[in-house]
Amino acid sequence: MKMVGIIVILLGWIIAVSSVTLGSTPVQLVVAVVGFGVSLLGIIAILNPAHNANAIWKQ
Amino acid sequence: MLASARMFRLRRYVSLSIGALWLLSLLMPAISAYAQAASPAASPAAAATPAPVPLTDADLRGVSGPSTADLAKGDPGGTLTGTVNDIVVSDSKKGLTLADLVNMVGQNRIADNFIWTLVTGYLVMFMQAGFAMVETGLCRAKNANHTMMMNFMVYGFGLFAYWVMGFAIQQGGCAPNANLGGLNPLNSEFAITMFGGKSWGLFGQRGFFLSGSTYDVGVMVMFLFQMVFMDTAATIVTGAAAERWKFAAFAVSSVFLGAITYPLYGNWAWGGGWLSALGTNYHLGHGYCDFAGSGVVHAVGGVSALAVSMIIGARIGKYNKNGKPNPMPGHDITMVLVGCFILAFGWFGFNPGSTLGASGAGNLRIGSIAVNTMLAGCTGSFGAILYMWTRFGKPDASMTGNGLLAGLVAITAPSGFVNTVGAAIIGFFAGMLVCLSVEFIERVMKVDDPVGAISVHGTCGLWGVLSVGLFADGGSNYGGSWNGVDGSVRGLFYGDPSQLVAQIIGCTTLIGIIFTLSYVGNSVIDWVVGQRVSAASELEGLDLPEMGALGYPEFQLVSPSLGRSVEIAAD
Repeated sequence: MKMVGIIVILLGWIIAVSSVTLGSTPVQLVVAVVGFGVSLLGIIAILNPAHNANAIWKQ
Repeated sequence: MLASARMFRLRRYVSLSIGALWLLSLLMPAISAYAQAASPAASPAAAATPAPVPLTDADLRGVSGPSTADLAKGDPGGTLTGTVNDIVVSDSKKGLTLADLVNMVGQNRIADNFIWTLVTGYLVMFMQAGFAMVETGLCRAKNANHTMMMNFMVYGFGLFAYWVMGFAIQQGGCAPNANLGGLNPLNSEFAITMFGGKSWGLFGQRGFFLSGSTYDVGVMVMFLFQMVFMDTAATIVTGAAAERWKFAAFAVSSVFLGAITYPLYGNWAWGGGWLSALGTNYHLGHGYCDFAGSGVVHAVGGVSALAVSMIIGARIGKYNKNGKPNPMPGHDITMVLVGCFILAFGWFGFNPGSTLGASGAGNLRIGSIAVNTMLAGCTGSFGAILYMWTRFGKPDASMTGNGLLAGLVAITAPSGFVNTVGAAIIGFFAGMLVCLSVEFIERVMKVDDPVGAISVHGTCGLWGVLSVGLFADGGSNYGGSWNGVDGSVRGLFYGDPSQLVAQIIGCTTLIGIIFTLSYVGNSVIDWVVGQRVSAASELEGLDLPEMGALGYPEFQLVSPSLGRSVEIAAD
């Protein structure tokens, strides 16, 4: 799951950066926000729970 | 009688004439000044001023300063020192020439800027003391030596790595910079072609070991200033990973941050890299704008701290088996608050110093930047104290200190682009945000951060970057352009939504690329060196097992949770 988390984090960056190719500023804004959200999701919802699965306080 | 009457009249005329002349002499300067002031409006023809006469070397020959004899008497009023006598003459036979005068003006501008940048850099260096006090005070007494030593040595490890290669990667292609004399030796940026055939600068290639052509006075000033910024980022991680980080792993991790992680993002934002070119390449406002480093310094440190904290895990006893967090209060709140004040003082170097000069190119905005810095720190502590008082019934001291720092972190990126009202709002919101973030990271994510560094620097750093895209008011003018785009930086609230797009891309790069890079790098270090100390060392406190000496050897340490003294074996 850690690898999946990393991939999702990078995917979010690619989405945000791809917004530069779009013509309209409002659309760019929405796509950039989506990319930011996907990267955050990768950290908070995938990578971090993968680490906490074997956390010291669970043992 | 007649003769005496004539004599009387004559004397009266003479007296009146002398009086009139005296009065006229008194009024002449005022009349002359009035005439000069009024003449352009009174007579349009007078507006046609004569063509300027070019100044020549001959005109300067008559200019003389105080004599050596006069100077030998001393100058208590300061009126004789700093005259034509002090202008450096290139050829004593020719005497003072126009070229000498012009060169002196140019050198004075650069000297002003050198002094400004160096002195503010010294202030930023002193922030290391503030960080050391805040982090050590927020940790338990049994880890005082270890925490203080990490803050102490991060300066050396980071500096060395930055001198070897970090500076070159970050600033190796940043020329030209008119404030510091051009910085022309830093003229090589490695770039690739990306979306739409545009050049994307990735890293600089000049300045390794500060050798070769970068053995240059301007480059040295730039190095010192950028180095202390990098060290600020590096020391953020030590707080989040405190009380369980192996010292050897910390050393390697700090070198990695100083050599690669920080310089890469620094290049993209400040060294002529792709983020700064989003404006010229894709018309996204003025490109990514981060005046003094909410993103480059604080968020880089914050996301790196998150990566390391996730890898090494929580301290023993921080969470119960059901995931409920336990409080682990620091041992010295007075040290924490004094440290916060030292940091706030150092921030006057951080933000106003980021103009890289005081003279020319709109640099007099340093006054506005300093006031913005002051205000945001103030409203940051307001925001935090309001949140804590409302939610928990007491004005928590450590979170109030973190609120001050959160406001300062958040204003770091926008300090050069916003007005005082914007600064106050940004700071206040950061003060509230840091409290919410600390709760979220501790209770929801269950990431252990003893000092709140991830929230203060990571969360509020990202907020600072975004706030440029909201609050930049178009009032700044740094030589008429920023990042190669003419005009002043404006955010969404002042008519340019595209600036916000550039800022969001910058934030996503921080959590998408910089976090990932830090996570992968520190995972490798974990695999090779091992990031976490043994459980026995952690329970004993890291001072003896890791450092070989206690922070407080003459004190008996009492554990609040155990209600008894902690036994520490000295052998």
